[in-house]
Parts: sequence; C-alpha cells; structure tokens
Amino acid sequence: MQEKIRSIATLEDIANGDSALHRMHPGAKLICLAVLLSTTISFPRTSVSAPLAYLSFISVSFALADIPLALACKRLIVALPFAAFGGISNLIFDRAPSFWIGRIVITNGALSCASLILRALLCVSYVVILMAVTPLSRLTAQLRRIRVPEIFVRVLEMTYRYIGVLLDEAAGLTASYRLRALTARGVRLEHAGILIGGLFLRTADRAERVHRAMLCRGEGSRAGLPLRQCVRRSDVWAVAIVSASAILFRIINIPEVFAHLADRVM
Amino acid sequence: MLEVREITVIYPGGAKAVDGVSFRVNDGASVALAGSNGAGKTTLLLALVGLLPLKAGSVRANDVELSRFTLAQIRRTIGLVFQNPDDSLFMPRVLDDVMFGPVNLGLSEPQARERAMETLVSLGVERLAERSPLRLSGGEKRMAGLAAVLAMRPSILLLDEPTAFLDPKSRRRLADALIRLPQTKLIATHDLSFAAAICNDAILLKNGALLANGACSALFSDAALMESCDLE
Repeated sequence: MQEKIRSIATLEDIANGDSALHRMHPGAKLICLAVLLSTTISFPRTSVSAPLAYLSFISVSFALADIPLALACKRLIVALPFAAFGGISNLIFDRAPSFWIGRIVITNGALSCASLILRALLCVSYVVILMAVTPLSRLTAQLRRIRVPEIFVRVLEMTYRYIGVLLDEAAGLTASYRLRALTARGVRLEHAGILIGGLFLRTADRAERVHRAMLCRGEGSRAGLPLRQCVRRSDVWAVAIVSASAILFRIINIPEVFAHLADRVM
Repeated sequence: MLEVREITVIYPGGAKAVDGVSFRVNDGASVALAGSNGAGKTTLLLALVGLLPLKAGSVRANDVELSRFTLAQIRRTIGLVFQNPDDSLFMPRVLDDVMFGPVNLGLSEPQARERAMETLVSLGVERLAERSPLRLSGGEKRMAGLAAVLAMRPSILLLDEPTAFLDPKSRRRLADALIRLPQTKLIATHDLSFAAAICNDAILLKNGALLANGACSALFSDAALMESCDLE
C-alpha cells in the first residue's frame, strides 16, 4: 500500500521535471492527446500492424521526457487484464479464418483481440505520458480554460487526490488489521466487507476534511485561472508534427510499407 | 480583532456542540482555547471560518461580520491550521500547496511562488518546497501546513491542536515559530504547557460551553477548575 502511495508521489515528481515535453503548453499536449486517441481508436477492428507505428510516439516521448520505463509498464500491466477481457470474447465468438500461417489458422477474432489489446495499451500509454509530463494543476487549469464543465474538472481533481487519501487510509487500516489478525496473511474474506465499508467511511470523512482545508484557502473563489502559460511557436510546431504524423500513420500502414521494402531488398 | 458573541452550533443530530460562547481576542494577542476531548474546540474553530453554520450568535473578524456573503473576506482574514496536517496538504509538492491560497487570492503564478517561498523561508523550511507532502515527517507536515495558511497573510490565525503528532523537538520548533508570528492567535489545545508558553490568556471550554476566561497563569494554576475541565 505504501508502495502505491510512493508510486503516486513518483509520478508527481516526474511531472514536475524539466524537459521539452514538460515545458510544452498543456493545451498543446491535450490537442496531441486528442489526435492520438482519436486516430488510434479509429483503426479497423482487425488492424494490428498499422497501429504499431504509433509506438514511435511513445518511444520518442519516453526518450524526450526521461520517463522511467518501469513506471509506465506497471500502469500498463494494470490496464492489460481489462483490455484482454474486452478482446477475449472476439477470440471466442468470431472464428472466421482471416489467413493462414503454415497450418495455423489466424481468425478474425484473434486479430481483433490483438488489435484491441494493442490499441488499448497505446491509449493508456498516451495518458500515462501526459500525466508524467504535466502537473495535475496545470492540466486542470487548462481544462478550465477550454471551458470543460467545472464538475468534470473538479471530479478529476478530487479523484486524483482521493486515490492518495484512499491508499493512505487503507495502509493504516490494513496495518492495524494485520497486527491484530495474527494468523492472517492478508484480509480474511469474512472481514473484507467490514474493512472495505470502514475504509470508505474513513476516506469520505477525510476527503471532507481535505475539502474544508481547500475551502479555507479560497477554493471556489478563484480570482483568475492560475498557471497561465504562453503558447510558443514550438508548441504549434509540436501539435502540427504530431497531428500530421498521426494522420499519416492512420492513412498509410507504415509497418507494411517497411515490410514491402525489406521484401524487395531481400 | 476577533469577536465572538453568543454563538451556538448544532450538529445534524440535534446535539449542541457549542453553546452560547462569547469571547474577544484583541489584535496581536495569543489566546489558548483549552478543553478536553469533545469540549467543542474544533467545532468552534470550524464555525469561526464558516465551515459549520451558526445556529445563533455572530462572529466578527476585523469588523467584518461572518455571513454567507462575507465568507471569502472572512477566510482571507482568518487562517485555520487543521489538527491533522495531512488534511491541509493536497497538492503534489509543498510549494504548490503553499501557492494554492495566494493563487486563489488572485496573485499571478510568479507572485504566488515568490510569496510561497518567502513564507517557507520565514519558517525555515524552504528545503521542503520541492518535496511531496506524502513523504514528509510529522513535524515537517505541520510546518508545511502552517506555511500553506500563512502564505495567505491572514491577520488572525486559528490553530487546532498544533502539537498533535509532534515529538518534543518539533513541538519546541513550532512554539518558537508561533511566538515569532505577529498575527492574532487562537490556539485550541489540551496541551497546557504549550499553551502557557505561547499565550497570555486562555478560554476554557467544557461540553461546548465557556467555563472560564482569563490569564493562563491564573486559570492553569487553579487545580479545581482544571479538574472540572478534565485537564491536567
């Protein structure tokens, strides 16, 4: 549990770094994210090779922003079961053959399952990168500036803060449980309901106190949006390059083009 | 100046948490609000900044009366330092947390940053600026929480059990910092030696009602009074 809390703090430490991506205007980053998400999602359901080109955005971002690979991998591992669960039904129900590799038949379902997992992991990676290069306060300030409804921004802020509170309370609760449940290695099933219920009551109480502290320090009476940052020429170029490349990768199957070229050379 | 007249606070269940309490804290004075657990100290402090509604009575801070329409003004004048510093620290870095109030006061980012750094330096904890609140010790959290409130430059400071979770060294450091602060202070505590070190006067609460009001030396040396308040 303490590890999870540290991991949130680590992500926030990284978000406060200083690289070309960190310095980029949060609005420009949001536009890039929207373009990347929409083009990635829009691939046909059996498309596997074409989305691979989008890995280039991820590798460039990781290199530019110096994001630890392990941190991103941990988050991708969390997302993987959800993506796999979504794709597995395709594997079962869509058994129409698509092509053969030797004697092995590759079904449409297998392709769509692979495509779904790949695209889901790509989308999660984009969001992880955004969070790793943009402090939450800048991100939410930008969302407010582009007139995203206040309730959504507030929920995002509170959820992000609430996760830390939840983990912190859970750490205390489970530590106290373990000390007295001497024989239990984890939480016994018969106690899980009570502990989870207690945890939510405690965190709701603590979230209320955090909210009070925010109110005392002027939350909700903002004289102006904080952390305004000027749009620079480099931001415009970054958006243009990312958007043009994303659209190009969406129209042209780059891995396939490289495969053909390699074929010819051979 | 903080003036409290006949205030009553009732919890949703109908229980009176504060019952007709009146007192006055003059400019620059430091007053201890003493009482055992459940005496109504925290509730009173929350009511003074409008976080809990008053059933009756009035609160005036520097001639501004607390009402729905003056909440922002009151919260600019009165800074409340919460009992648990974890509740006060909700931003990714201490610096962001200390900047949070000034930004809400309308300061630009550079101005807010400058003010936040000034405040951290004045408390001698500028080294914490870039650190995550999740990784601070109890004493450091307390100082960061205090800085977060002081950065709003309130003229009245309310502190709720400031010595809770502190070791003797951190407690002494906090006392030194508080003595140096020029603000009017109302310190809710059941730590009488700490209160006596900082405050000249004290207000004693019991079951939400005011039991006594006067000089710390006189009140704290009255064994019968302390006994009746469940204080030692």
